[in-house]
Amino acid sequence: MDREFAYSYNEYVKYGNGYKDLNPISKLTISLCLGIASCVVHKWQFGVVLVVIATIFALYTRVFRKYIRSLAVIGIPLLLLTSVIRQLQYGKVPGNTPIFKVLGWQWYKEPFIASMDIAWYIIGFSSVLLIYFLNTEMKDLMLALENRGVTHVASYIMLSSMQSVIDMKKSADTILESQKARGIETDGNLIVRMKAFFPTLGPIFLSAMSGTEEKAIAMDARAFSHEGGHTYLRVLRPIPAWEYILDAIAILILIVSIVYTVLRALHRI
Amino acid sequence: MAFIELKNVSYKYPYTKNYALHDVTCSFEKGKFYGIIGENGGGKTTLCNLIRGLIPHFYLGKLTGECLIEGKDIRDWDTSKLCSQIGYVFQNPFTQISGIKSTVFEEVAIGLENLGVPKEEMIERVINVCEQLDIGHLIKNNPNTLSGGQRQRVAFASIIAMDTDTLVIDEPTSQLDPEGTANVFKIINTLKHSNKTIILVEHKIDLIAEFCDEILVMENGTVAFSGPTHEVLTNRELLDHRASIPETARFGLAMEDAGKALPKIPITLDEAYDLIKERG
Repeated sequence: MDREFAYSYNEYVKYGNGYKDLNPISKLTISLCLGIASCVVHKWQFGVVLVVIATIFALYTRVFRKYIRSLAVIGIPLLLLTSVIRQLQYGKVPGNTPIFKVLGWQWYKEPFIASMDIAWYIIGFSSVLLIYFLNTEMKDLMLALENRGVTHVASYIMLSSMQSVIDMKKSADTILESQKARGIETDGNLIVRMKAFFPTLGPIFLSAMSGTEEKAIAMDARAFSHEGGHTYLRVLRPIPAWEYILDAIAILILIVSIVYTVLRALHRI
Repeated sequence: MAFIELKNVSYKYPYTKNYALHDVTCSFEKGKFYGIIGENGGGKTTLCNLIRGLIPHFYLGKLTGECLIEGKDIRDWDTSKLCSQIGYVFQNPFTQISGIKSTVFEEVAIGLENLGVPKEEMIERVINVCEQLDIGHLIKNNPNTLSGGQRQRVAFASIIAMDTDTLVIDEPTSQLDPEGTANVFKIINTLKHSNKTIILVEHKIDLIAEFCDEILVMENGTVAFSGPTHEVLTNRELLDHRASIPETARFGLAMEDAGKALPKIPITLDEAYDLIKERG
């Protein structure tokens, strides 16, 4: 047995990475404040700055591949779609400065910038949240929430629901495989796949429901409903003062962005 | 005084017509190893559910008679307290994993966390149990990726770590392959020497014969036979009740019928070997 591993539970939860080791709630506060600020400011420059910062963190925390893949899935269609829609809505945005032509179709600067504002605030918001979720174990977040008074029941429901989705996917795969073995076509075009998939939903949900009853019994056997103090094998490190300062800065950025947006709106009026 | 005592207990599950347990009277003493056998639908799992307090606290339905745990009626027990007295391992290895822990070490510790055991003690207890059950090599693994047999051992470990006085084990090997079954019975063998009260439901009669001090034979919700293992498993009447008996006992009875009786009817292979060797 790896005793070193076993005794590592005596220490605080540690990943050896400055960002990952932040308290999950602090990280969430920072990410949400910056993300919401991006939505409030609604300027492409702010979104781009957020994406740059998030990308640096993605490199630092070694999640760049997953991060860029997910961001591209959200960002590229969004950029294209908003640009085209805004150009089609030409005239709704004041200004008519031509910038370039696409296959003879004249594009204008003002609707283009408006589309960039929309796309980049969403991409900016997504980028900070992506970095958060790629670097935060849900069990750490739930542990942090339990430390702040969330009941272990709520925490368990959250975490086990996520596992249930994985389990249900596994049982769907198993059923599809057995259907295949019985000669039912499961591969092919969308309609063929749907025809094979929909009949599996009944057994999947029924087995999930019966599994839930047994899981409840298993958890009861593990003293889940035991009254009295819980202890934790994994303990998050105490939050240092500088982490609170980081949170405060993020909240301040959000407040400033709200004030800036309100003042800008008033100025326009 | 018996640790667990059932007096004229009858029970029927909600929305069912028939009683799953009918007028059951039996008792379980501390430190003994009990085996419960019988055909499917005989009431074995229902009896386990009752002893564990799932009936009437989790499964409602109609319960009559008295089920006393340490002299206190099961209806008056708080299930949250009962779980620290009676551990429960059941058939399905796949639903006994919490699904929220990312290492086997954490999974084994889950009951201790819920009981509020201090961390240092928790770590020591988990290490001991993992070594005792020979799952030390698995502690870093994700429990959700383990095989059925491995999961069952982890389920055992997390219950044994809680150090309850009594363990109810309901068909722990019914969904396991021969290797998984052998590993589970290694654990049961370890438990036999731990001075705990163990109630084991199992179809593998040869193994029951080897481990148990006393046996209950369940049939149609009633206790058809009960008593010391040797006495029950060599009872000819058992054959009329569709209950299986060990092959060695069958052999001993056949020898008796043939007028070549052994000094006693063997119920384990070792016993049979010794008796035949003795005869020469």
